[in-house]
Amino acid sequence: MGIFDTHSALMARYETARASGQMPTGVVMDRLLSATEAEINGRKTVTVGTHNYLGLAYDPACIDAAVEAVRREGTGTCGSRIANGSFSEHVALEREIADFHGMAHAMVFSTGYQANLGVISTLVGAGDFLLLDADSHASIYDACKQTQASAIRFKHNDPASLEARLRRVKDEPGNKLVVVEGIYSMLGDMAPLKEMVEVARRYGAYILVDEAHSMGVLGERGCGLAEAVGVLNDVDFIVGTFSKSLGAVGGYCVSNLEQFDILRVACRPYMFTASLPPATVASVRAALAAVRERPQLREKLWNNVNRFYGALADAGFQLGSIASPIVAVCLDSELTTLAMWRALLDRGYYVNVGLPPATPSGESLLRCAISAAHSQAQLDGLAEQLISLGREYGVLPQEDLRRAAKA
Amino acid sequence: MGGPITKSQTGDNGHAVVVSMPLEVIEDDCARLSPDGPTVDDPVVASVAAFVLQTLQPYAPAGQTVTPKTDIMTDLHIDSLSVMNAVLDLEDHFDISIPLNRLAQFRTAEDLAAYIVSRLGKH
Repeated sequence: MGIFDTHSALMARYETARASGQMPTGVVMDRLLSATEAEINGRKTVTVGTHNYLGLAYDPACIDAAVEAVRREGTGTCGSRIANGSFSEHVALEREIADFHGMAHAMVFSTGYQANLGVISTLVGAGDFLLLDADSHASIYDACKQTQASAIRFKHNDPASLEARLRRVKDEPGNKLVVVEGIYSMLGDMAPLKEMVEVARRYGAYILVDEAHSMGVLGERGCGLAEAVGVLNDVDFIVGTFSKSLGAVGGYCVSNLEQFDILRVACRPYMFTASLPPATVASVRAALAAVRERPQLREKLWNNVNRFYGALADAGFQLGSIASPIVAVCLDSELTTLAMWRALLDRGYYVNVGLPPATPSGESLLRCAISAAHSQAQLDGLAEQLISLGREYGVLPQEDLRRAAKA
Repeated sequence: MGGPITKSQTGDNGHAVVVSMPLEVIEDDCARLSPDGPTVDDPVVASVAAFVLQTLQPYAPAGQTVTPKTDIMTDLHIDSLSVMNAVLDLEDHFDISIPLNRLAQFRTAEDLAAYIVSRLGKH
């Protein structure tokens, strides 16, 4: 029995996929050219899979802030904040991210994954109940493994399913924590947050919203779905990331609950890992200022989203249920998905691939992450190539059949 | 009480078996489920076991019948997501909670049925 035998089924599947050509996991960007272009396999490629929603990863102000910080404070903190101490920039960022959401407290983590893992697994323990949406991100599922709380899954975006589960445990003494996401990362759909908050409140449960893909994207100020649907003051915790709209890496949690700061000495994924380096903290602060001061970035993003989603929907692709910066083309076959993904790469477009079991219902996805930095020409070009490949691979009907069906 | 269920008992007392399946399967299941707990001729036990098998059956490879001894992960070759989805349906059908942290304990279909029986009426 070898040490990797546990993974033999995965290995067989991986080998089959790998035998059919280049794998998404093996993509190397030889050179980054701009917020929306990279050189891949020796050719200039439009990147539509980077989640750089507002284009801030290449923003001059963010880059300048990072350069100045690295010269001023060095390349890294070389350890955790509980051991090495905090830099004043960590504290300033926490103040700014709390103020941005209109919350009293904030904690910054080294990745968004760690923010979910740490906060969720520390908030609930033995005797408590963690209620999570079936389509939750891996970081939320992994938090379930890190806590002794009973983790109970409810049907995706289904307040009645959540309510049934809260009702079943309503007489149990433990705390109940409901976890939902602003925008779900695979299909780009959004939680019915108002209804979820109402159900959670009715049963005395706490509610945490992961705004990883919605911060900077939704809401008048860009705070996310909670702001967009008017429940910012009704949610107990918001978790977010610096690696999407803010163009860097890191995660955070904000809350109005008074005793929130106890997490600093209870939350192991916060305590026992190196803190964010100065350059990252500085670029995130500059990016946060851009989110506050440049709402036109969000407007441009949504113009791009609506145009691209509309073009694919009109062509007959099966997509996620609503337009959002994640536009997922749903396909039946894993091998067709990989073949279309490779063909797109050969034609100069890089998108993401989503395969089961990471996808909600076993579908395979070509997942496009739209940015405010994309030009209309770039997105029109991708839509055109996707439609042409859809017909070539039998995912879409041929044009003459489509015309006949419409007639 | 306590002995293996027989075909005649099943036929005579008209226990609520919610799907049609070989009687051997029911016998085997009840023998395992109720050595000293719920009675073997308890209609609840038979009906829970049957519904678990019915819920898991769509995940079985073509031509394979799910039995109480079927190893959910290895015999059915289904991934953890499919198991969790089947559990969602079982929770709603029986109006109970089956925490994710428990799933690793359920190797076979009858393990799952036994847990459900133990939770009935307790949420």
